[in-house]
Amino acid sequence: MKQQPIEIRGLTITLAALAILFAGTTVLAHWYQNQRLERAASSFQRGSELAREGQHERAIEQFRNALAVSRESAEYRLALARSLMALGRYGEAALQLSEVLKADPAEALPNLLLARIAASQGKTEDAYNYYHRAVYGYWPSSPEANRLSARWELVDMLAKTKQTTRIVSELLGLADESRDDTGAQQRIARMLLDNQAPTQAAQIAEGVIKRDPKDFETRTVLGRAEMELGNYQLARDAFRRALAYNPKYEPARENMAVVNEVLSLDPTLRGLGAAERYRRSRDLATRALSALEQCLKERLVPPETADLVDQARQALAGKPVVRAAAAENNIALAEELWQHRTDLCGPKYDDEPVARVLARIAK
Amino acid sequence: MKKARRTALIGETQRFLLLSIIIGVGAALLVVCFHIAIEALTWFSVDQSRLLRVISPAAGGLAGLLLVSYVFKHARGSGVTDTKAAVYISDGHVPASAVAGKFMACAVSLGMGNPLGPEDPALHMGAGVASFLGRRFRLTRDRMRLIAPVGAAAGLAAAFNTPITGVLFVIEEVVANWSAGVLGSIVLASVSATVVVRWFLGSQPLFIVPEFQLTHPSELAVHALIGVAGGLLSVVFVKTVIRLRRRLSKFNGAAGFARPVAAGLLVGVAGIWLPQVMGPGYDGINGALHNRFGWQMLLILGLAKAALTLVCFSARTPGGMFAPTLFTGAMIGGGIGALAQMYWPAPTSPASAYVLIGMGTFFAGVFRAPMTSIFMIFEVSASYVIILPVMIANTIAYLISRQLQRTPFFTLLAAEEGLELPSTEEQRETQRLLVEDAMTEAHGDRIPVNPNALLHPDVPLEAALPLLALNPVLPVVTRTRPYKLVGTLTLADVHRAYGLPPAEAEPREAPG
Repeated sequence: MKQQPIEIRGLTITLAALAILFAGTTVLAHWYQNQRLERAASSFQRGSELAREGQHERAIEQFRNALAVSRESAEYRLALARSLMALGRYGEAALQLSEVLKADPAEALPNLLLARIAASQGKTEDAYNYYHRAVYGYWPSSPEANRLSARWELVDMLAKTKQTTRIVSELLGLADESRDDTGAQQRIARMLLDNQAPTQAAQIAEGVIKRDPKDFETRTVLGRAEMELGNYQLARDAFRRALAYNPKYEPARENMAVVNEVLSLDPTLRGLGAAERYRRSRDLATRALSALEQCLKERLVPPETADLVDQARQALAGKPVVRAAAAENNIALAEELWQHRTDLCGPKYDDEPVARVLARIAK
Repeated sequence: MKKARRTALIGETQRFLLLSIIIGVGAALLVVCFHIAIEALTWFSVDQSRLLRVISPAAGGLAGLLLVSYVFKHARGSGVTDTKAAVYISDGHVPASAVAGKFMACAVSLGMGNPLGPEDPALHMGAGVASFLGRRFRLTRDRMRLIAPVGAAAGLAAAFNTPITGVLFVIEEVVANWSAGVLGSIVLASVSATVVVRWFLGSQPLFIVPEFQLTHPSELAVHALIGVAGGLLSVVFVKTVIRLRRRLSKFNGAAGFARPVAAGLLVGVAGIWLPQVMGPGYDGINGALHNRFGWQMLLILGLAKAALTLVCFSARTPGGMFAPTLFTGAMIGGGIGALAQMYWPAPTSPASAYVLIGMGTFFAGVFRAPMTSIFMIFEVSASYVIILPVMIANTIAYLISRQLQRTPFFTLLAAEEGLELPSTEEQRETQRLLVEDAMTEAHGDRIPVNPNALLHPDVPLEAALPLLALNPVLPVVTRTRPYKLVGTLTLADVHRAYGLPPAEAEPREAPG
């Protein structure tokens, strides 16, 4: 190959000139980057002030200016997304938040904001996933408090969308994470009870009561949980203690009345004499018949129900030969009548004590 | 006593490659400074107050035009055209004053809000740096001719932060015929420029593209529609630019300088309501990619940018056309996409996908560089999903533009400056004559094997000419059976093939 001389001096001068240009550019670029950062910070500050004053449209402009200069700043992007959300521009906000997540998918706050957007758009499954990522994601400051807060939001969302199983699971998680927070434990017990988890509700309520025996509200929750579990004696005990600390506490009084009625109506309680047992069974069947007759008003009566009603009337009008057998028959009759009532008029009922006694007997 | 100069022996190819890296670094450093100058000027002019926003583009355009008219006269033309002129006319010579002129005039013009782009000036600056270094390194004339495109690729790659785009554009638009050696140099310069730019300005792509997936095959029809819109608009744009430039070129003297002032004022007034159209417009594209605008706004922005670019470019305001074409295409694509979201019967992608798809269509139509337009979108977005729709839309735009506007944009610009430059598009598509196109057929004769005086039918005709100088009749044989004659070639055959008058009669003898 043809070899040609290259002037080392010329090459050295060129490289030296390049080095000088490089150094000059470095100085210039340093100044430039500092200026950019300062301008971005100043725009962000102005935007934050405007957002605090509720002027989100103007705040967005400032956040955009900050982002145009400092595109990689998650803080600016989050602020922009918040203001966009405040104006209901969820689609745009979601894209900004996705950008933040692209850089760091474990970041909790953008996940939480995306969860709120998804929830507001009725995308509950997406919202659930984003909330979960927010709960288990990275919070740069106050991680525990933020996680709890995110989880409570998730629980509220689940409650609104009536996702009972998921709520219970989240509430148990919350109970574990907020053991020292009595207020949270009270709320968790209440919500567990409202979401068909009376056993767990009772456990948590007992924990709260241990710490604060005068907490009549939680005692009432405990009483209600025991009611749901069919432990009416324990429920009565809980309501009685709640009323001892606050006699005017209406929920405890109302529930106490129901419990008392259940206990006075239940023919299967231990220690009852034959006469009392028969009386209670007869009362129970009579109230079940009355509930069915109420249900049958303004309704086409099926022939088998009409027959049953006739039979019940006759049975309840007659006098028993053997009280023990008659009590059993009455209980069976009450169950059958209640079943017909439920089939015809649905699970809603007016006579709560009868429903509870029959449910207990069915168990 | 005269001191002996210290030299080292180095091959021409190695010297060229070494120089390519130095060019890449030098061009990129210049482009970084250019970028900073533009943005800093924007901070201190357009961003300061509403009044400055209105008058800055006019002041910037005037200052830029004064600079290129009186101080840096070599910086007047289009970067691409001047680089091509360096390749085909001036043996690779790009004056150093053109680099300084482009830098200052375009920094002032673009920094003060004119709606043009910094990529064409960056390409020109890169070519200038390369030419300067080529002269210092005393390259041969052949190498000097190729050095400007190497620098141009570096400049463009640095401006877009896209190495592949730099390489492809130069291959598609500046040098139609290239060898592996030239390609290597272009790639080296482009890569080294990109590395330097990323070192100083960060490695993020030009646009932040949200994640998306194409949802339904029927969407391809929408992509095609975007291609049609981009293609048609590009034809109207190019025709109008050329006509308007011709008309406005009649204004001389003070009236000539009034052109960028008037255009700048128009930009300034539009900038009050549509600030996104000012400057290159990358922030506007980023906004569109993030659902910032509704379909009406997208279309308004696209058309406004196209109109203002057209006016400013025709008024000789210094600056390039790359960024404005991307902006216009992006907005038109986004607008059509947003409409499709509302009215298309099947599910469609997010509007940001359409912004990206539209981005390259207008570029492909105006510059007739379909490969560049496709890979540029790929590079600036770092999204692979987008390739298929971008290919469809850009190819349609390119074909429409080719069909309705015969002469490419840069050829028209060159003609306007009195230069007759070869169109790379034509060069690419010109059929090269082969030996088989010219030879006289002969069948079956067996000939003695003399590899020095044989031709194959698939050899380019010009490659046969040196052999014809030594042998009046050349045998043509197939590659599989070199002893079997398939034809003969004489100078008369060559004349006939090229459509020239017949050469003097020569005896045709049986070879061997």
